[in-house]
Amino acid sequence: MNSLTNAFVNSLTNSLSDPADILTIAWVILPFFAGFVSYLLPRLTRYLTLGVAMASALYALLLFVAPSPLTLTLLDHFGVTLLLDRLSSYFILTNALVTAAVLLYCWGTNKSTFFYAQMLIVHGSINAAFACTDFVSLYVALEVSGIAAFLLIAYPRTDRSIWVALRYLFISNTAMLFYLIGTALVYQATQSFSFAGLSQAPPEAMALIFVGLLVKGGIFVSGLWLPLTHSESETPVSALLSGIVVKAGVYPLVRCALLVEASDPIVRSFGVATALLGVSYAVFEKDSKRMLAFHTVSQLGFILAAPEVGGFYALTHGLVKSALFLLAGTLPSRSFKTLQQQPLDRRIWVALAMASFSISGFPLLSGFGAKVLTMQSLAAWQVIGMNLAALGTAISFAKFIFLPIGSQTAVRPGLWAALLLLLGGLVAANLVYLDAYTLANIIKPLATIGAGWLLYFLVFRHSVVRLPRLFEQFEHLIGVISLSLVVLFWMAFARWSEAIG
Amino acid sequence: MSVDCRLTSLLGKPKFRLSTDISVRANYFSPFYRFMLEASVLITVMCGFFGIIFKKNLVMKIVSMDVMSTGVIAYYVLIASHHGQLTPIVSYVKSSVDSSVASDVISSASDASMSSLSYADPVPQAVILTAIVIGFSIQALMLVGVMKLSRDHPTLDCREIELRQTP
Repeated sequence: MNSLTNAFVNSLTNSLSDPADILTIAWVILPFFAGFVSYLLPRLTRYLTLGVAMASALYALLLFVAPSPLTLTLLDHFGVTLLLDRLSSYFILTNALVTAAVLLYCWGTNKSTFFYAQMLIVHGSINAAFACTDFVSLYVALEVSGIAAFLLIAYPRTDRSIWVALRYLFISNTAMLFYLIGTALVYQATQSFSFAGLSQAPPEAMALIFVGLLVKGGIFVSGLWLPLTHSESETPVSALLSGIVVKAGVYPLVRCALLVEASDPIVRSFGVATALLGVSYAVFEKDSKRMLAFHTVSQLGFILAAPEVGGFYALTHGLVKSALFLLAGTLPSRSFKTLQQQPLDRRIWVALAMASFSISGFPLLSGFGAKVLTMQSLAAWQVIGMNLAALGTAISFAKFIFLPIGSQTAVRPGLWAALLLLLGGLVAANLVYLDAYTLANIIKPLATIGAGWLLYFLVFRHSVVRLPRLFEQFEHLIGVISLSLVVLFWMAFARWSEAIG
Repeated sequence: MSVDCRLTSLLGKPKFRLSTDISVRANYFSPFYRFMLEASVLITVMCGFFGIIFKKNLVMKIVSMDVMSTGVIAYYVLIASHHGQLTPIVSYVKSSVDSSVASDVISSASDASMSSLSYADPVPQAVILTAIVIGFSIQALMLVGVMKLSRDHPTLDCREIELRQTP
């Protein structure tokens, strides 16, 4: 018995000999610790949250300059494995910046300690999801983030917010049950839970795990729970959900695509499919928050379409989308029709236009670099689909850019602080990839944006098409899980039988 | 059947003698029996899943989700029992386990003899304990949400609630 305990302690201390490893563990634990401390010291909550977000940002920058990726295996081959590299540093930085911006936005409001504590827990669990490379740690991280997100959505305690939160938790938990079965199959095949084991597992394991992640990440038809949830939540919660919480489901897909060769084409094809689906809903949408939410579905597709550069795209999308949700919350109305009659404050329009230009891929903002990188890393069969999706993005954001200007409205200072952080991040992140600025690269997005605006004025500005919301009904969403399971199984089976013979 | 298996491995040692218990003995020898167990686990999961879709009452939907998660838990226990059914607790205390087995543990606690005993794999059991706790808390939260929803408008019909709450 003693020998067993000794072996356990030894393996734990051996794996933690490096200071970088201890730093990593401390960074994973910190938000949870701070979350519980904040209940004891309610006055410090906001400062604690800010401190945790800054610690994460620092850690991400450290990772960014680290010479080699950091790998950690705690306990044994079946234990917890962490892998931190460039890819995860982009996601962690997104998490830190979005959390900080949402905190600044909420600073002057009378949100309770409970709200900030849940924000800390969401932040921590998403950090954990970005760090781990084994299915069980990921399961725990995703479920914790789901519970905390539920509490954040239901924070106003109105009937509608409770229903939206309940629906979100129900769908994600059902999907995660399928995910758990897949995890068991991976363990049965390889005696370990690591992502890499997916290559030796039977195809049904991949199908079950991916269906969980697709639902959690809001991808393709199984992600159609997302528009209602993100548009009906409070402004800061929408920003948090769209900026980072869905990325916790997308990141593992990207990681699996990089680690397991067989899953790469599956992830890429879902990327194209969801980019097109999201954007085709977004161009017809008349409600600003719903348009942003559908557009999130499509942007997640851009992250998945080119997994090797997905990190940078996730960073720019996280910054832009949370800025846009915060701005949409301050607009006088949600309907574009009303907005077109009511002139906007000039300062708000400038911020709105900056974010819209970045997401359409306009040069000088980091959306440009991210789009160029993604387009370069596409496989040949993806190119047409992704260019169409980029055109759709330009069309849907023309709705924001061509709003009338002229009035003066009072805006809370918290919004400006948050926007400064997010839009400043966009400009700074632009410097990461300066090689993108070649003539051909600059002309193409400009042409796309021009074509998009033309189409907007000719067709979509006057369109009265209303797409049906049939697939957003609760029972259909659950049913679609089983359909995507079948589709995923045959895709995985095709890859598997190719590999076998 | 699956619940029996789940109880045996999760809640500790069985009260009955190992050598006389039919389910355990059959499981040791017959692949057919394993197959039947696996099939019933799958049926449990499917029952839960279709319950979520076809039940109209929101509370029944949540109960169906619990049935589904019971199936998943049973599946983990089934996978854990692939190489043996003994509860994976090494103990010096004489217990209700078959006396010959217990004395075997006492006489040599080295790794070699431990592996010769057919213990259940502890890893999936430990993992599923975490999942059980998470499932519990999620169900508690959801039931609280449903209670709050049904207080103002006394209905539990899922479609009606959805119709009222969707913009």
